Amino acid sequence: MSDQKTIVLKIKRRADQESPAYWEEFEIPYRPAMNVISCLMEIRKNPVTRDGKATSAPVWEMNCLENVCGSCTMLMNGKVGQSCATLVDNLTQPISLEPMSKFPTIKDLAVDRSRMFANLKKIRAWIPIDGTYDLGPGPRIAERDRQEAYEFARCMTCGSCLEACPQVSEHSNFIGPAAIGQVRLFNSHPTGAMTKEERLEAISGADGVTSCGNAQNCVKACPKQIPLTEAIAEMNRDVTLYKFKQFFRGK
Amino acid sequence: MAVASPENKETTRAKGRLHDPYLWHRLHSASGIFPIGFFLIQHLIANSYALRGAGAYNTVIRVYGGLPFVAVLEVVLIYIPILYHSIYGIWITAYGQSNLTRYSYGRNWMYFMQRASGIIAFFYIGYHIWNTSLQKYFLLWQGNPNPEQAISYHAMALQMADPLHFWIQVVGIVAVVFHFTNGFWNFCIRWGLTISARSQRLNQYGCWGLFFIFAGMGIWSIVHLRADGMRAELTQTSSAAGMVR
Ligand code: SF4
Ligand code: FES
Repeated sequence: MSDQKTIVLKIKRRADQESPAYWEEFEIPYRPAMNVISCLMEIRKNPVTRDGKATSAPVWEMNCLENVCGSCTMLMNGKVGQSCATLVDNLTQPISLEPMSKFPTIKDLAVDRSRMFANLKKIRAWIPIDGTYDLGPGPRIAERDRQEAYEFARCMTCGSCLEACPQVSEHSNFIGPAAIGQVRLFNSHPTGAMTKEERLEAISGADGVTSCGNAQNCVKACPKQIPLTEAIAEMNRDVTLYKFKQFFRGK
Repeated sequence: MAVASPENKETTRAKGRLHDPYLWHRLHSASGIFPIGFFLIQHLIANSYALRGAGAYNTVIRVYGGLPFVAVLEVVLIYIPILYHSIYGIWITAYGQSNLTRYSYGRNWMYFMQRASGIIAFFYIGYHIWNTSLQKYFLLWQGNPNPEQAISYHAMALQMADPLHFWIQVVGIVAVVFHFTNGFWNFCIRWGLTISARSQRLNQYGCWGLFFIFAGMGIWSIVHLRADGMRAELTQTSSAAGMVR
């Protein structure tokens, strides 16, 4: 495999959130149609840096390997994306790999996205159907509404939208576009709509939908093409109406 | 879990409605349109009377200056809203983290420009208020018999003849009008008036249209003033009463 094409990767490494970050360069043989994860797997087989130093294998997260779980999300050449679905041929070399910057680093490229899951709990991203008796079948949903809802149901909590959002940073606790899209999803369900106000309340604080600055990066970054900006505008309307109602109702 | 929403509801209520960040944020957004945006449009239209010459312009100044309770109106409808809008806006700006280098999308540029133009507008408005309104009160306080001279057609025209002052005005007008028209686009999303991506895009075209109309109007007025001011400087006319055209 001499004088053959190679792939050069620069990986940002870090033992944990507190430790200093450093870069390591790797060079691996080129094979057609490789994606970023296959490069990482290649490095893992024999973790030696480009200048011949033996090192530990870089850590990253992955699961489905087909762009549906979101766990492999990282920055590739500075931009957020799914490393299992990003082809080396579409990236300029050397390819830099970094963990997402808006979440605490667990190790190397793996980050802790628990904040997103906590937010899903906060907005009650479920349809309450448990009762002490059989609630019977739910109402039917018009096909058009179902199709619209499905768009939002594809969210995989990957965090790309938060990563790309200028309003999400260390000094802001903005809940982020993904959770707002989920409020839109569960509030549009006929049964979910019964607890609509609880979800609107959850996004009506300083960290809620009002923190959106309309940079609209989220909708560009989302690998699932979820119409996040439409959900944000719609939730803006709903939260405002809810607040007005709450004010004049006096409770 | 401490994140369940009923608890959140309790805390919001316990703190009282005045502590509701939502209210203050909405107030920031609303104040940009009313009264500030309305005032801006009115102000640009009033100033465009400069195009009709000194007589018309000075009449407009007299009409506004002679409004009953003018000082109260100025403070309640102009100064307080602008001050609130600026201070809250600067706080919002500090809280964001622009990432243009990584994601140089059109709307992300607008996000940045909205903040940049707001900060330019803040300084410009400070300069502008000093130059006009406050100077009038300053002269009044000094016992000057004709405090209105600070904002007459003649005074404005002579000020505009100074290139530095003129260019500050140009930059200021562009920044303020951009902040308003792009802010209107934001407002429509923030209040859920434009929800679909298509409506937001169409609104964007409309807002650019408004930008060119109002910025053009403002700049045209001051270009006219500057031309007269330079003519007056040349002919050394310095009567405070008005200008021979
Ligand atoms: S909305 Fe899109 S970008 Fe955001 S977490 Fe869900 S899938 Fe990822
Ligand atoms: S591994 Fe599941 S999205 Fe990449």
